[in-house]
Amino acid sequence: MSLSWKTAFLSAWLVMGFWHAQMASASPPLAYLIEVEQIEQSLDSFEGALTPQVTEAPKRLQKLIEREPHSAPAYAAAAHYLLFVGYKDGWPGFGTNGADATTALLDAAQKADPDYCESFWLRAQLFIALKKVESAWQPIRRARSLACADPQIDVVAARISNAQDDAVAAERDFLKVLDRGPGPDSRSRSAFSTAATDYGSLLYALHRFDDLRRHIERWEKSGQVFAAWTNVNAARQLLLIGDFEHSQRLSQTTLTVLDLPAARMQRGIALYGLAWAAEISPRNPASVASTLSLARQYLPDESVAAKTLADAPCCQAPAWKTLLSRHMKT
Amino acid sequence: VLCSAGISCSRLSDSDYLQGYVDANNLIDSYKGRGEALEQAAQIVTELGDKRPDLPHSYVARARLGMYGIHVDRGWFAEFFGADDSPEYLLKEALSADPKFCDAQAYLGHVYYKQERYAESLQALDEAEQLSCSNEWRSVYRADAELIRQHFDQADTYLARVPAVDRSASESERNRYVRALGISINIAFWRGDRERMRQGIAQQLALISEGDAWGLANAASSQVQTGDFDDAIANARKALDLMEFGAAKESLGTALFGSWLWRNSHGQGNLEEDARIWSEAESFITFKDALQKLWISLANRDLAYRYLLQQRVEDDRAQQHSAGTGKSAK
Repeated sequence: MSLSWKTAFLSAWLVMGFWHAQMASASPPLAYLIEVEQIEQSLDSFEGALTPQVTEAPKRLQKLIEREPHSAPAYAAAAHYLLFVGYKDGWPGFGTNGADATTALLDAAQKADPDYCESFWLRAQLFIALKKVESAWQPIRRARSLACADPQIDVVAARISNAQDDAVAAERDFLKVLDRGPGPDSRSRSAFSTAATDYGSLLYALHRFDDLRRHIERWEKSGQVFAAWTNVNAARQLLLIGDFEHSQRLSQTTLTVLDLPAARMQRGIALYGLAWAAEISPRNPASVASTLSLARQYLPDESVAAKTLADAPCCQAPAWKTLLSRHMKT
Repeated sequence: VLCSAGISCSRLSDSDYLQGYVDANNLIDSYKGRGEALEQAAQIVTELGDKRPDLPHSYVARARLGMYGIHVDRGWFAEFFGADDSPEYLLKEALSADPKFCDAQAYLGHVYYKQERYAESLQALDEAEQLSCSNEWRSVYRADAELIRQHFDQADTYLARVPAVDRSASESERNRYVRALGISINIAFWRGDRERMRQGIAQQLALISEGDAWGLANAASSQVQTGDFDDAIANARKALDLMEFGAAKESLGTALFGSWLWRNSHGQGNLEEDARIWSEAESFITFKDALQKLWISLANRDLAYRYLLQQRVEDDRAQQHSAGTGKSAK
């Protein structure tokens, strides 16, 4: 699983830890559990920045697996790493590609502890990634029967419903997570921001734009400024529905935290949108010029912005069509 | 010190010895950044060790002194002394003399925590739990260790065991409770519970001794987290009136930047006053160094504050960029 593949999926997936996980009957040593726990925290907080904690995670997990081969947490954390950070070469001894290695690691976790909570939602997530959506319900049902407290279970359940076009069930599960709030720990925050991302996408797909605006405002008030990819997705949705000013500010939030190329591009598109909107309904020409100048700093090629907006709900009026076609390169 | 207090200098009785230990600990607990208390404690501890080498207490007191000594001279646990003087060595010596000495076990857990050896810390604190002990620092230390693992509920449970005290309590008891309140404020911060943080800070301020510059600076730092910048400025100034030290300067500078941001993002700006505030803030800390604290402050949940903060970050970067370009042009 390549890093770029991961990046594409980060908006939809997020990470988990294991702090609610149930231990195997013979508990592994505390030092082992704490080390896995710390790695899980870094995976929960992963937003695309390859910090030393993230880059060193595979080596540390491999050692933990070798040290405690009959314990589930390190296997599950390794699967977590593969699913959310990416690893095109798989995992040594478990498979040479991401899907095979993740499956084998989750099998090993299940063998070590059949009731280990994290492995259930990770397996369901893997099924979604492999487009085996119907199979994804089984581990979620099992996790729920065990009353696993991991909030990612509701998030993944919502994703399965969403993938099966059951918007009502998906919305119910997303809201279950969002109504609980972000929580203080990395796992809860991760589940909260993942649910926020996916719920925004669902509202956008359903063309419930007013609900989407309200959802994004609520998200912003939650103060989860470090969830860069949730901001990236929200900023994209806002620019597509024509809330350019709000969108560019949200991208700016992301860029304050993490210099993501996607956020730079989106801020550029939103700024072009702002300037072009002012051209259509002229305001202050000086402001148009300075906005365009700023837009070019983020996205030099204005045709990219024009092409993005040409298909968006914001810009289907004839005046927009004419303006955008002028800015598109042939 | 003991001799001058009327205690026999030739051989100490058990009760005199224990009183000396209590006195030394009280002096260590009263340490607020000035060395006299530690010097006095060191004299007592040396005498205790010389006169009753058969008892473990002096090792514990020496270990505690060592922890502060490192703090003063080289930054908290940045490096250790030679092996024979390290707090870990001294505490293990104490435990070899009396394996059931709860103080030693609890402090050992704390030493491991400070060294980020969390598994060993928890094991030591678990062992301290098994011992008969009236020293509730062990609960404070355990709460620290639970907090770092994101086990917030457990941390709360241990904090609840720390006896709440009022101003009539001894300085040592107050210090312990102030410290417990500090952890509780931190938990409230992660939960985004500003009101609970404010209550905790008010309790801390009511308990700290007159002239406690550290206590005031800690309150100022927490008030930056809550976004109560004016209160933070007032407390940091009071702290600096008492003693000049880096943490208070940093909190004052950060709070001044925060106050500037809040005023200007809420239509309360005043050109002359703002220039003065900004310039004073820069005399304590650079905007770049203050940024992390300004960004994670709960004030950042306010969109107007956040947008202005982002704007300043962007301006700051642009300035640095143009300064860099200027240099290379030369």
